[in-house]
Amino acid sequence: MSGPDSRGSEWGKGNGSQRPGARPGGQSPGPGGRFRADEAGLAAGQQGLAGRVSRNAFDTFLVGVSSLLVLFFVVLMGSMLAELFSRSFRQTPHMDEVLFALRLSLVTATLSSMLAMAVSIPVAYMLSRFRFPGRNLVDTLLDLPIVLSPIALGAMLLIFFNTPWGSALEGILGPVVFEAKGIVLAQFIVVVGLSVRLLKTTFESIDVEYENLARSLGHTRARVFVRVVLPMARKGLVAAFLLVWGRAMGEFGATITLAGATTMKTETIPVAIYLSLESVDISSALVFITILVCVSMGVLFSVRKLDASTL
Amino acid sequence: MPRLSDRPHLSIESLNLRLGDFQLKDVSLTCASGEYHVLMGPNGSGKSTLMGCILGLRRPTTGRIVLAGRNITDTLPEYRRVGYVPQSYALFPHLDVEANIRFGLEARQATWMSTVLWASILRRGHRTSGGDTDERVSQLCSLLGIEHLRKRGVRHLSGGERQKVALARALAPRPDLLLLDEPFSAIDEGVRRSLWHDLKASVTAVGTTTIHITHNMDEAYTLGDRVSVLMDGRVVQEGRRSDIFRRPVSQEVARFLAYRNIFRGTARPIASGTLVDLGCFQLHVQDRIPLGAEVTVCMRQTDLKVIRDGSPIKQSLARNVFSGRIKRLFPLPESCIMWFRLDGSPREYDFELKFPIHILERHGLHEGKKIRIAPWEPRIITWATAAPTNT
Repeated sequence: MSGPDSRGSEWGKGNGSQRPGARPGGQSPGPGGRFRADEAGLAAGQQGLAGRVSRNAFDTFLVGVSSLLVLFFVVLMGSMLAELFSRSFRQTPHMDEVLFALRLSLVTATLSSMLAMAVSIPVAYMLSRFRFPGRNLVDTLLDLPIVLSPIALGAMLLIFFNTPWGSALEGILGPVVFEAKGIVLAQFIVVVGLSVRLLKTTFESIDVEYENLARSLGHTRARVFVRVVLPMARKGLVAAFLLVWGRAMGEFGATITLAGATTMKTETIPVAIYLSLESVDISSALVFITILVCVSMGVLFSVRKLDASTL
Repeated sequence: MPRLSDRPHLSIESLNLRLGDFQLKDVSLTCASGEYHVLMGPNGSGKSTLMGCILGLRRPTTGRIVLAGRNITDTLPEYRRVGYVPQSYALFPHLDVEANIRFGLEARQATWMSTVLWASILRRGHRTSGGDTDERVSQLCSLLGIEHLRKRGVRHLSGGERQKVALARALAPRPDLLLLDEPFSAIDEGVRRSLWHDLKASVTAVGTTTIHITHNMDEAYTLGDRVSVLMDGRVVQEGRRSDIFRRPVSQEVARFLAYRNIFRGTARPIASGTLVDLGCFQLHVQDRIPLGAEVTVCMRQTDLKVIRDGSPIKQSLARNVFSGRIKRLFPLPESCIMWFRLDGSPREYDFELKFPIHILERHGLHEGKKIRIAPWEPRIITWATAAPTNT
């Protein structure tokens, strides 16, 4: 592995979008992203009826498909809410179980996403700045958890803990398989690829020029990282944490494989939904689903808001 | 004021670096203490690469860089004491103007521990204060006239203000050398010229040795105490600015300086100089060139004069008077460019002239008009391109 001195040709010109004057860390949606039909309409007006009809047909197609998709989600949520309210009068969910699952999910998701961020920050920074042989291989390997089925990841972890190395690791960490620790580990493995990828994009959007300049002012690379790169990446860091945390909250496949589905022990919210459905406890399942939907929506809205704000 | 001592303040000695297809070839350059040196070259000539070597971002394959008596060839960028103003200025967007300027002054007291502390606890509102630091910041702000901007964010500054903040930030830690990379490329055309002098006056007042990189001739001519021309990874010419512009060392340099009217011919010495045979016409030049040598001559557009009918011809023009027609006129806001075709020439046009716009009226020039022109003889540039073939 070689240092940044041997990096490609972009030491000065940078490879990122973040030049002075541009907003830091922002992938702001430009005004062009909005649906704009005025100019098109004007052109079509000059072309006569044929142009107008074909344009309208295409617009109708675009708007139609989008509406149907949105409608589908609205109906989905609506039916869930309707069911939730009608059932909660007849059958009360087990509140202690709900609270346990909520607390366990919050604690494990927070721990695993913090762990994932702690590991991803240096890894993503290295991938965004260093060019070394095998870099693409490393990059691809770290993307694997994003694509790979979580249950396969969980199974791989389970197999690993049956090997002597796994037992040795369990000796250090204490029991992991079928324990709450297993949940954290499973979530970590599933989300770490995502956090590396998000942070890599964030770091790549910061022009190397800032770092070169800070070094010319007498700051060492470590200081430059702390004083320039991290502050400039703060928006991306917060956004990445939120997304990763949301993903960890919803993790199911790897969790159930590694930590099992034991009521009041390794029962995170997704596991609880599974268990409720198994035992035909629809009202509990609905409560869990509602919580997850709210959390996910909350995360997405925060990330949107973050993007628009000047942090 | 350039102070010439026997030992140069900066000396770059036979630097070589290969980067893919591109190469720096045996680059040598020296700067006296306090000198304002302009490094000029077309895009892709290796200016940025050379700058990367001076900053320590690139390691040359062979060669040495000595700055203020220290060999810094293998020194890390943070210990080189080279101030840097990048083309984009790269002002830190998360800091205000004053914190930007202070940034380099904080490096001196810093340790790892303070870094961690600063980052975790005192991230906002923390200032490294101390009389020395504050004084330096105030001094630079008043020198550059940016005191009123000190508490502003850097987002809403104009191009000129950004440049000044970037300059103050680079100068604050008292670097041994200042590198300016195309400092005017982000500034509107109209404001540039007035800022040229501001920039040079500030840098000269501080007394820092400066390398200013540009591809703009006017900028180089106005600002450079000394000028070097870098082409294709090589320093092809280094000297006083008048030498470079009067006597470009090769036709490549002349072409880069946007000189036209370059012709090739053979030399025949005569009593008062040399007669160069250029095919369809002959040219008297003052330089003495051996018989039979292949010569390339260049007449700058502004050194070709339109001869007024009826008035006596100056001696430095008299020996080379050409008559022909105006092929085309290109009136520009402040000057006029003319294409001139010699009588009987097979080409579309032979000479390109450039003169102040009022000449157009004074001589009543229009396309198709028959006129006489002559080059200012002492200013004709010649290069003997091959050894004489006679025995």
